[in-house]
Amino acid sequence: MRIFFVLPLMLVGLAGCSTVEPPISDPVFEVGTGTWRFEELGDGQPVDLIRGAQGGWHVWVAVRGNAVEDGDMVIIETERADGAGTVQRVELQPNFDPENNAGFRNYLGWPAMLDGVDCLVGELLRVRATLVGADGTMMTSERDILVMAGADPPPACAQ
Amino acid sequence: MNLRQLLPAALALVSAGAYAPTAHACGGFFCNNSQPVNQAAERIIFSQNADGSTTAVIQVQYSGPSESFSWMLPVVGSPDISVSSNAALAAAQNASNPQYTLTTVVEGDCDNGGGGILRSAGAEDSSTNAPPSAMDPEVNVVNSGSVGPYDFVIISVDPSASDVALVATEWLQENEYDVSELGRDRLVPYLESGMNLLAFRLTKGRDAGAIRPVVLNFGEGLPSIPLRPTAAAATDDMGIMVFVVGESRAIPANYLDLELNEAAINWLQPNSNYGDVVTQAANEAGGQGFVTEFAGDSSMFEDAIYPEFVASQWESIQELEGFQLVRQSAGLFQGWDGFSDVILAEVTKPAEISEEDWNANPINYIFSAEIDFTGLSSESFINRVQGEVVDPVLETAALFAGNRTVTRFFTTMSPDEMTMDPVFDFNAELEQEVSNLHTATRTIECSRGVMQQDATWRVEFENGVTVRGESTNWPLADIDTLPAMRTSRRVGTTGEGEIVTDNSAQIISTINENNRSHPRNFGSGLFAGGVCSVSAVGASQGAGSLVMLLGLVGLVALRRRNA
Repeated sequence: MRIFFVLPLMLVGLAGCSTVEPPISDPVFEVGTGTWRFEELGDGQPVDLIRGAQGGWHVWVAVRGNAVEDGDMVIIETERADGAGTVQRVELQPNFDPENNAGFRNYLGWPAMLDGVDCLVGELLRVRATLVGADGTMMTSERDILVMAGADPPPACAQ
Repeated sequence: MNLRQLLPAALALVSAGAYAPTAHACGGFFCNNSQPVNQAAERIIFSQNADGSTTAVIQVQYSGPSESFSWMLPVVGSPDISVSSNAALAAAQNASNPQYTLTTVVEGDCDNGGGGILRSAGAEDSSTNAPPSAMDPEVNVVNSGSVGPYDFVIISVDPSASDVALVATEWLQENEYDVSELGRDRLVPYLESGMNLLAFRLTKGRDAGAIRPVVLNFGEGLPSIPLRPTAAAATDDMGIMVFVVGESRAIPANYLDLELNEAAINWLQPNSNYGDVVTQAANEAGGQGFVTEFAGDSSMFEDAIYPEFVASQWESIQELEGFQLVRQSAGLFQGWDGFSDVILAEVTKPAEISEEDWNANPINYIFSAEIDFTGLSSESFINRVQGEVVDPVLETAALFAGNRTVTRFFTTMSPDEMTMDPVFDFNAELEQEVSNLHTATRTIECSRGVMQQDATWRVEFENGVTVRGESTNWPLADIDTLPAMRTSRRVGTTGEGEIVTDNSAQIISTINENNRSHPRNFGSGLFAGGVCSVSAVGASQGAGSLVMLLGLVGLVALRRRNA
């Protein structure tokens, strides 16, 4: 009786010694859109221009990652996908939301202002986000979105 | 921008007791208090107009030399510019301040007596300075002029300039807009996107006391606060209060929507730590969140800003002449922006008063000095008061007309948190009313042998949470011990949004721990302890009575066994 109870304990002990830590999932960093939740973007996906009351139009840019940390920097760049025009770039040190159930931390609702927006309607806009970690490691995600006029369209392109 | 912001001022028990004697009158101690919190903040009103345009009323807070004052705003095109009145913004704030009402009940009799139930800006256009000259080919002057106490200029900068921000700030400096302390880099995104810069300075001869809110009429689009340029000269934990008027309740489109932990507020003196609680909550949310302090019908604001009794009195006063006209006008409008300027312009300075003293506070002498009113033009005086003092308030009041919805937001932010401009949108599916009135009941637990001011008490909130304490101290005022934010969520233009952080469990746990440390004092060294004093939520007096009874039964059973 006593031997019966001892052996299973020994087996349990040995089983604990051979436990293997599950592998860490690959780090993911992704650019998308959305203000109150992250919305994935596909290349060529239509995105509305949003007009601000002070004038000017922007598109909402969001990022998410499963390996982001407080203090990481995010660089957001926008430019015409055909390379014409200038690159607009901003460096941010965002306050990411806490990790959600899917394991991601989001940064939502960045209003990416655009240059020459009147001639962007119907064109592809490249949105690129780069995550720069404290150790200098970088991850980049980009999408080419189709700019739509939205509810309050800009003036017609003069060109 | 060379803007000095004023620092913002800083804006219950375990139930289940087995002892439930009749409640008595308060007797003057721990009486009900109903206290509005009145936090200092930079105030902004956004009103979506019927034609889709947006009107913004922006209060500017500044302390410093008048010649160093300047204020900048990125804009598109050339918006209409006028001035409002601090009195209007103050009235809007007073009409919607969060109010904490604690109804106090006393149970039992303390040694010092028992208790009872107790229930606690018209646009001038008289440029005296030469209009600014563009000179720099990369800068175009879109518009310039004077409004109220300000000179203003709107410039556009060639987006292809090698350093757009440097070009803009150098031009403004050369044209006597002191922007030396502005963080130029923060202007770059706006200028590179083709926006113009609107800059204000005080007109020569005006002092900082003349600063009054600015009114800008924009085109269509979502209201947004250009916070990033503000960061250059903001102080830590700067209060930002936003009123958004529209057809439905407004939401912070890209900031978090915060719900405060009400137990963290000092209900005995809510003004003492309300601002700190908001600051802590905003910090817990990463520095970019707003508390919705009020949402409801806009009509009451219109009357609060320009009350009917003021309109009636002003109408009567206009029938008067001479010193009666001036003095009664002063009695009604002396605190309103622009009234001093009217006095200086229309009333002859008393001979015995120096120019400096008269200019500093003319209203002071209206009632006390010998003034010659024979040269006063009543018509001119009345027109000036109407145009420069009353109309700016009326126009701000009109922004709230039409039974629309006003949403009031409040937060505090530090410069390092001002990295994203908040944008506001509307959500007609949310609960459209958010009350600024908060109530709770405090029961003082009196017993013989206990002085009332030393008695324990419990505060029961409407959500069922109970906080225990004693004397005049709010036990949870040390907010480092529990979250100031109950929940944060992200809200869109439809639906209820999604919770990002929910601190409810941690809050309850901390309250429970606090309540265990404030057991009921029955006097004569008897304290209620153990299970009776533990639960913060939902415990009823009946449940506590059952526990005590079981305890007594157990004690009797044990003694019989040992006998």
